[in-house]
Amino acid sequence: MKTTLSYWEIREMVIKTVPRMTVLSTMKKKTNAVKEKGRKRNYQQFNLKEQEWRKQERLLNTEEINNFLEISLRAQACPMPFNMDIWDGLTCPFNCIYCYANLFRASLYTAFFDNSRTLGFRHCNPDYYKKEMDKMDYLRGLSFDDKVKLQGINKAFALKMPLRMGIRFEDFLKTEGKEKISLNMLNYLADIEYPVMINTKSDLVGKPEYVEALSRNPAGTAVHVTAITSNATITKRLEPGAPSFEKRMEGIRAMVQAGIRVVARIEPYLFLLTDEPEDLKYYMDTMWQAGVRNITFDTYSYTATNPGIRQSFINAGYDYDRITLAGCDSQPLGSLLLGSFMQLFRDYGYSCSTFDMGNAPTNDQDVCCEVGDWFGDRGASFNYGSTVMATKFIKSMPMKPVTWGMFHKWVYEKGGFLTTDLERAVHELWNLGGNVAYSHRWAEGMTSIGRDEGGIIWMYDPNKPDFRLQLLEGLQ
Amino acid sequence: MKVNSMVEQIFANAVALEQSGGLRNTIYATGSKVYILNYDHTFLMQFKLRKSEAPFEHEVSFRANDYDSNEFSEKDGKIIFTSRHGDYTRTKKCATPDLNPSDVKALFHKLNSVDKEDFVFITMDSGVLTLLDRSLSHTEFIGKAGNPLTLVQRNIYDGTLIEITKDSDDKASLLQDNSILSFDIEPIAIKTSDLASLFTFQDVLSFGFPKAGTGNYIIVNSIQKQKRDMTVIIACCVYDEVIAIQEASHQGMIEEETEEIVPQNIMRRKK
Repeated sequence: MKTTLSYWEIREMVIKTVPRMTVLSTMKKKTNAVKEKGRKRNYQQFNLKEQEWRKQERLLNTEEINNFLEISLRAQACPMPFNMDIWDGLTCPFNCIYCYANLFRASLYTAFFDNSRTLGFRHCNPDYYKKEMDKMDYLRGLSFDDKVKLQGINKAFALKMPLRMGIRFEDFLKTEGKEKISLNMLNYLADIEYPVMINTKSDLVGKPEYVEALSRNPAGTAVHVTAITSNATITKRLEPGAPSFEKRMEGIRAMVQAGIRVVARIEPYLFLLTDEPEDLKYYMDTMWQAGVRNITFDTYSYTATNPGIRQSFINAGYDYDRITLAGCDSQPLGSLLLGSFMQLFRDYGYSCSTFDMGNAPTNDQDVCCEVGDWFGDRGASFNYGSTVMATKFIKSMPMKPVTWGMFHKWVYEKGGFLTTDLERAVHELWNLGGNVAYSHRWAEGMTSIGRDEGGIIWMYDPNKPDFRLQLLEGLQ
Repeated sequence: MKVNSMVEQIFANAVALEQSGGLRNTIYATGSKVYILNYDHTFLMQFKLRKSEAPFEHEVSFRANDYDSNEFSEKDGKIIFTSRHGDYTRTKKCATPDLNPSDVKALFHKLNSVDKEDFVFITMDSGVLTLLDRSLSHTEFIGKAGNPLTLVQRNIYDGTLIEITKDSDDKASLLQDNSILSFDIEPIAIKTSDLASLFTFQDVLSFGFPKAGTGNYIIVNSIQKQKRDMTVIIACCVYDEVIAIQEASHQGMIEEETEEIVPQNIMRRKK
């Protein structure tokens, strides 16, 4: 039998393994998290043919995002990779100090466009979205065999894969309250009976008109509300511009009462910062009383190495190095901590899942967003051709050999891979290629037991010693 | 002013540390002392100039990676490095750091004015670096009274454990010091890159570890003081369940000088 340790025992062992820094004197410094590349100003080029100077400028559309539905770059692992971006901006006013999105946007926009500094908030063109999605509507009426032949967004749409809002940018800022672009799209999705899931930290989504748009959608709606701690002081330091925990709870209560699936989201889990026992108890009690029964988790990014974000943590008074070394830089330690942390919530009664591959086998739902039952019961489909799903597929047959051919057949029975490229990427991950963070190869209990024409044959062994725990014990 | 080759070497080493990524330093000079403070404020070095070397007439401070020449002056809050080649003169103007040399000197004094009886001093030479895994973030020091000091590195990526102890017949014990601890020390760590940086300046160093329960910074002294008189204070990494960053302290620290240093927008002018 496997030895299991509680979160508090594992936490104690990690405390003795990864130390906290002290300083000789405290001093706040500029963070410079946003790496703006900068561009030459008033740059002109002489046109020989026309014999004149011409201004060289590349301008960003500051009013509108020229975008449409897309399949996420993480689709090789993610069961719900169908995205719809509504709002965008250079910086998100929530200013969460652990967030990379502001950095990425600033780096991208200031490198390629001359007017990025004038960018406030911009949004998609809802009329364009509606027009194009109306054109796609016939896809949902195709036969299953014809749907299987489709690719990309057409296939996702035809199979009724839930759309996700708020992946790249917060879609429920104050400006949304005035312009109601997200509301417009939510109402449209309700009209065409298409499932949608929102990621947000805002309480705006709990206002009556939004609750109404969400609750009247017969295809189902779910809202992930990110709240990584119930501690007001820590929340203010980590997410200085975001609504308080209590404010978010107001929105959650309103949505739960209206029959909307609300999933609390603890991402990122931050070692020693968001795991104080009294904060956890208050979190669990408050969410439970509000009617929340599902929680999704993840560690901090495994690639967390940004000096500006590090300095932001230091300025807030927290040891970024310790948080990231224990919580994510060491993938096994971070995963082990997260898994046992999730167990605390599971013991309370919550259904818990994570995108963290090490813990994917023990997820309470196949879809790590904790909405598989919710949308599944309403006829939605998911991205079965992904490694999170592969992990659950292998686990569903404990101690039995599982080949690529078996998984491939199962995926096609469910509608097939979203694209040919994606099928290739998942096959590569199956056979130990690609980015290890998204591979089921390090999922707890997985063992490779042989090869066939499709590559590695996997087996899930529930009694296999947890390599993550063995690693930690070896360090003591 | 123009500094001599000895001081220039200190500056050059500080620059090298900066470039190697080991430390991101600022340099402060006042009187016969030169200080190097790293970016995270976990590491403060003091170099005492020899009596034969001219002290700094005026305080000067700059970021190590700005260092450009052994001839420099300070004007309107800017440090100006001057280089000459043939008939040409090049100047490089740089902003000064947030702290001033007096602040840093006071900080050093506060931390170094403790009873050294509370510290056990162990000699180590740069050879230890060859046994360390430089890719691991921390090196931990542990030991009980009567036992040798042990250096530990925990590889949190593959679960391996590296332990380094000093052989008792090591010739370094001839340096009126030994590797046997006279009292218990609490497990403390420093960044491996910081440890490596220390040996950039001298090959043999004496490490003073605080007696268990007395403090959480270590004091490192150069052995060959006639060659270079160096003292380093390093804030340690500790194994408790706190995540807030706190100031390192020692029970014998001078309390009246423990005010937090506030960065100043100083406008210092060299007369």
